Amino acid sequence: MERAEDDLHAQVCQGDKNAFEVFCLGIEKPLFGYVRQAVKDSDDAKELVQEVLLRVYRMARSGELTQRRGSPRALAFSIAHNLAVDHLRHHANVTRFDHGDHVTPHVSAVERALLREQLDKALADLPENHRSAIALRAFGQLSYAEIAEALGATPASVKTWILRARRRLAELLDRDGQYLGEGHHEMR
Amino acid sequence: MRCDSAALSAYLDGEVSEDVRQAVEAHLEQCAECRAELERFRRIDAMLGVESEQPGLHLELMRRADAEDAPVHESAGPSWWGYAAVVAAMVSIAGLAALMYSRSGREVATPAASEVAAAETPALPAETPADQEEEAPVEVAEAEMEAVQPAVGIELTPPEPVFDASTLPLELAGVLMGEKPVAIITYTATGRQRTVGVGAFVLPDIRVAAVAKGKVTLRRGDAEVVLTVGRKSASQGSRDLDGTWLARVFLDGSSNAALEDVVQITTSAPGSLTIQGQIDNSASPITLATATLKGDYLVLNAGEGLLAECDVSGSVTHDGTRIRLEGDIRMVSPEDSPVQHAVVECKKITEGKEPDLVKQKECEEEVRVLCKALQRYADDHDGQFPGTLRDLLPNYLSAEEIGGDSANRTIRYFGGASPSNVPDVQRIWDETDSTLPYPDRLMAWENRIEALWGGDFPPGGPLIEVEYKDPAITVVGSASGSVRTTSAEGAATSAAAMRAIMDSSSNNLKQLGLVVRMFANEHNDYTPPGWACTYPEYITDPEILRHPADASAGIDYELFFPATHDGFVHEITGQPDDATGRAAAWSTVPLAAERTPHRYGASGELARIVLFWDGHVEVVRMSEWETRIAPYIEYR
Repeated sequence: MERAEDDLHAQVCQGDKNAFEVFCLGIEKPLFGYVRQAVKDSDDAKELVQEVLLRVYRMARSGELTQRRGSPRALAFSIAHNLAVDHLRHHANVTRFDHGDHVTPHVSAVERALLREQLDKALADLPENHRSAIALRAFGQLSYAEIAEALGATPASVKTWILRARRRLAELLDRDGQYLGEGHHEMR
Repeated sequence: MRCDSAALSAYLDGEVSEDVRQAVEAHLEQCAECRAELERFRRIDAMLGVESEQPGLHLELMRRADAEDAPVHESAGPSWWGYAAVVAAMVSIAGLAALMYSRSGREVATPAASEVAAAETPALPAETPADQEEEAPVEVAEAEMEAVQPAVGIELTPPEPVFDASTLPLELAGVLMGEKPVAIITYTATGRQRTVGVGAFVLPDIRVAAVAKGKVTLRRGDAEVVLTVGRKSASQGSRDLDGTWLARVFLDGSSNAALEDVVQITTSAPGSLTIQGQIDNSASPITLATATLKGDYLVLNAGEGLLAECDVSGSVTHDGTRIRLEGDIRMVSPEDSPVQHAVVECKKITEGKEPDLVKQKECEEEVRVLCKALQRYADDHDGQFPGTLRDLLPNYLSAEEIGGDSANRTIRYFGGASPSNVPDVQRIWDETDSTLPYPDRLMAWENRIEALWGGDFPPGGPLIEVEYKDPAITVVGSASGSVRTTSAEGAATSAAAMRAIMDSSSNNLKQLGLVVRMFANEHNDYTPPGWACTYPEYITDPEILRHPADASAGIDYELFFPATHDGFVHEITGQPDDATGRAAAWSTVPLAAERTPHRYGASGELARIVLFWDGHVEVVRMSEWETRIAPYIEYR
């Protein structure tokens, strides 16, 4: 699986459009998750994700990707982080939460939306560095070194931020008296 | 080791050394508190990853990527003409692909069936007997469980031993395209179709391991599944509809409404109809990849290289030789596109009746093969094309590739150099005086670049020209690899040839419209100051600057408003500065047009094709020019 991912990344770097589409299929959901938690608006997040992937695509087409260290995946999250930060600067005085607009009559969907809401609140209460670090880890599965590069920090700081974020999130969610849902856990 | 949350957190992320990992795992076995903490961390991560929403972005994204690449794609094959050969190859399996999907599910569902499928494929290594196929991955999974489970203390579900292809969100078919085996993938969620070779990815962790006619082998990790394309039985569908048809799409309210293409029709089940083809037209671009009749509903799905997607619902009637599809059509993108009434008429092409279209496509393919060989040669020779075509043999072109009837064609070869010494436009931009007002700076930029080209812009030009006797056409291949066809029987007299030229020129203008839009998006909403600075970043194929009927080497399309801000448009018309005002202004103010008029219509009146600010193009008769276009140009 990992080798397959490396191969896919190699094909993307070479500007292979088919490979890029497959790459998008795999990354759009986590990338969207990451950007959405950062900008707190689904429509804006969609726009940003498209912009991120288009930039990666342009870099691949121009041959720029092959000269870079690191995987296209890490690069995509790194760009996503920067765009999200820019976006928030431009929309500093607008705070929106749009969870719940995807609630369907299904109970599980309602529960998920509620869970999402708690989590968004808890995330919003984190310091920015901590939030970005844990989100890049959780959505992007980026390594500490890759997160460090995206955030312009050292891997040691990233390690600390992620730990603090996890502790704080656990506290916040516990304090709200909410059961830590039966989220599907899986080995990573 | 004592309790150490930091180590636990890093352990969870796989960011610890081997020593620390072992220490953490040993500690976890003894310490319930840390096990609980780890479990909390794990749940936090799982919850963060819970994303109820499917963004479904990639289709729109690929459309945008396509748009960026549009000039490149066009050069590979001008709109639907070029695709037809591919489409024809894909078409014959269209119905089969749908069948195969349901079959494939059954095949992998039972071990016996997958064994049979595996045994059938020649692609599997001989030393891997079919019966080991399923066991190997299971062993791996168990080994992982033993290593991990006691340490972490959570339950693991063993991975599926062989992945279940019936759950994959795609349909697959294997075909031979010429000699080359390719897999045709249709994503069920989006209807998007891709053609890929062996080794290509189908999904992020699944790739094509082997392709044979009718069969595709997929591989995920060590597991392989062979999908076999089934043959439909004679009892399914009404076979008299199967075959090659000529389809015309009529869109109401469109000035030159009929779009046409050779399409293939297959009937996979009674009441279901699949039309495969690619219909594109300058006036109303539609890419029609499949049209499926489901009960009373006709569903059109768009395919690759599309400018628009469309859904159609309506009625279908046929009498065996004619099919008429009627319904409402709406472009899926942009979202606010109006619903249009559309009629699709298909006429069965019988042997000897209208074979010219098929022949013409063969001729075009021949020229395309020649152009590609020339490009390969130039790549290896510092951008110099060979002195004569014979130099291509045998390394760049095989005798078989350029087979065909040599008595039927006359080749004229121009040779020369491929575009090189392209100015570094970005560097030149950086060198311009940044204190200048933006429009002036843009103009200074363009002037510098034009000076560097020294009149050689746009680069390229015709490379080979092949005149065929049957059908009587001339196919011109350019240095950039694009191919265009004109009827040899006096361009001005043949209405069909004029229409082809008109379509081709309209396409050029549409692409230039895209270029302007993309440029403006990245340059503070200013239009380009000219075409030279847009090459090669936005105009990747300089051929789109040449009119298909004009032999001139220069730029055949005039930009009326260079380095002009988007916000200026409604001012010209005096429209209010709101959404409706802008929309009205954008659809009436011309942005670019052909430099010289041509006799396009049946009336023989001179006309120029005009690109408007909103991206649509129209053929404007010279009698209307003074009233419709000239005032705006004077305004400038």
